[in-house]
Amino acid sequence: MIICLDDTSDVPIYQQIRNQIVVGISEGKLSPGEQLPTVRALAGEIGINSMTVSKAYQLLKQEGYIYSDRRSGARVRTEFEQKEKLSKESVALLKQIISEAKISGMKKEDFIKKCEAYFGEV
Amino acid sequence: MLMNFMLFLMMYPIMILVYYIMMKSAQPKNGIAFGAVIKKEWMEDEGIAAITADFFRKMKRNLLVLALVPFLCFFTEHLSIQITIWMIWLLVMLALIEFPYAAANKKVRARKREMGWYEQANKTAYTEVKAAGAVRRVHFLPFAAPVFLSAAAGAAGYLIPLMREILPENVDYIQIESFRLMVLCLSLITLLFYIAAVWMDRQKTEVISLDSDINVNYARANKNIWKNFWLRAAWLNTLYICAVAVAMIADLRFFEVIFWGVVAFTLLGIFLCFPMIREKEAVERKYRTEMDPTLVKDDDDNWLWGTLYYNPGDRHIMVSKRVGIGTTINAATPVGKGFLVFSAAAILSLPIMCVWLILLEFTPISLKVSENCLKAEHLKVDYEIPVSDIENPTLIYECPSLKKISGTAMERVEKGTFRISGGEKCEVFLNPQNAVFIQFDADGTTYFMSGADDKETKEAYENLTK
Repeated sequence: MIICLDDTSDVPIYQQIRNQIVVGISEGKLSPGEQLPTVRALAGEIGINSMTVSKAYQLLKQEGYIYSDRRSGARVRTEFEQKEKLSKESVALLKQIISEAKISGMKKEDFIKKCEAYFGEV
Repeated sequence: MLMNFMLFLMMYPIMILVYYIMMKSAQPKNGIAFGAVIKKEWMEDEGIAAITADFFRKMKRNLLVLALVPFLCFFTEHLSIQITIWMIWLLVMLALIEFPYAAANKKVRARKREMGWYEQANKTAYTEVKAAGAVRRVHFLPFAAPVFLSAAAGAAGYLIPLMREILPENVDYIQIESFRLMVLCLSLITLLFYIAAVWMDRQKTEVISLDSDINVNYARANKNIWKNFWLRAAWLNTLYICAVAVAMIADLRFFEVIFWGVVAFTLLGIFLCFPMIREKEAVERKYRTEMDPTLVKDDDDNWLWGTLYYNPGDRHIMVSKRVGIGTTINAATPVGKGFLVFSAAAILSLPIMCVWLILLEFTPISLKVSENCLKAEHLKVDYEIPVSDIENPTLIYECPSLKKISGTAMERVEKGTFRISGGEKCEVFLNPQNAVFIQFDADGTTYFMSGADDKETKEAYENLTK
């Protein structure tokens, strides 16, 4: 799995790492139960501070995407909580994306079609 | 002349290797040419083609000049002048080969700005998560034999004098005690090679494809090449250090072994680079079709002159080079800054060393008696011995065969601690071209001295025996 980080982006690096790991899990690039690299190894590989990776892992743990124990390090969860709803942050993000689509003159049907296509992809 | 020949054998191949590597920089490799990110289709651009042609022309001209200059050394017999020519040539060689590359890098970047190519540049950095801390090729076991053998050779000089009672009487303990520290330091180079191998093994995995397996296999292949290179280098140093240690202990042409060993070590070290370059090229060829040039991050601004990496936002101490093979240091990190200061000091020390050598060779020695002391001066007061301490001063007309332990041994000056062939240590301050020398004892040490010429020696002797 490849993580793409943009130094020039407004999104903090830890958030970019978190987002890409979530996408990786959703796309199947990270399988359930798969071991993630240690905080130190990933920070060394990216070339950033260990605290940044640690923060991303903490966030993923809080959100229930990964778990960690002292012996096996961080792993992708084998089962995810089926809340069947979006988090507050995701709803806000979706609203923002819909607004942008509306302003750009995109039709509702086209937007839904796009969403369906992406839903099938990830 | 022997030293000149040795320098020729050691330095000339460096020029060929550096020239070959720099010429290769014009060919795009992993989407990089002249140290700048460049797409394959941009190489067809007439501006880039003109820069490439200009680069080749300048490099060929510079090579011709550089190839001829070292032959000047064969027209002088003065060692200091020979070494000075070689040192200046080395610095000029690095500059003359670097300048066309740096100029081409500057022009390519200007062309990219002119054509608006930076606007479509990729600013994203890719990291292979599966490779983080997982691709390791260097283990201690294959390095154990050379590291321990070197350590044993290095320690032999300290262990053998402890076993004096059980060893034969003809072991040369003076030689062992004089050179064991040098042999120990040389033996540590094998350990340094192992540390370098470990360090290079921990470098970031290059992302060449969106397929993780390809990235991991590519990293594994490259790391394997580096592991083999450092392992061969470790064995090479082990062989050298073992030969030096045996020569030191058994008194088997010690200086010849050191002298020709350095030449052989340097030449073999340089020639070890060629198979490695070929192996690297084979890996590049194998993965060429898998490489996705859109994954190369365009961070030209972080590469000063296309050579020096300076990126405060990157915590990597070592990164892959943009020209040549291997890794380079991130000059923005504390380690990188330290390395730069050390490199600058090393480069500056070369001309200073040359000036010192010229002064050593061309300043005549002086030996005189004044204020009841025998003063031996050469750039500084080397020896100041009270006349009352001097015993048995004798004028000798043939100096015994002397072997240097520490100090200076040049055509017109020999000074420092020497040993009489097959005998004890002695202190020496003389011009070996003279016919007359003074031998005396003081504080239990034997001295051999002379003035700049025989007249000065005789004068000093007369004043001593008054």
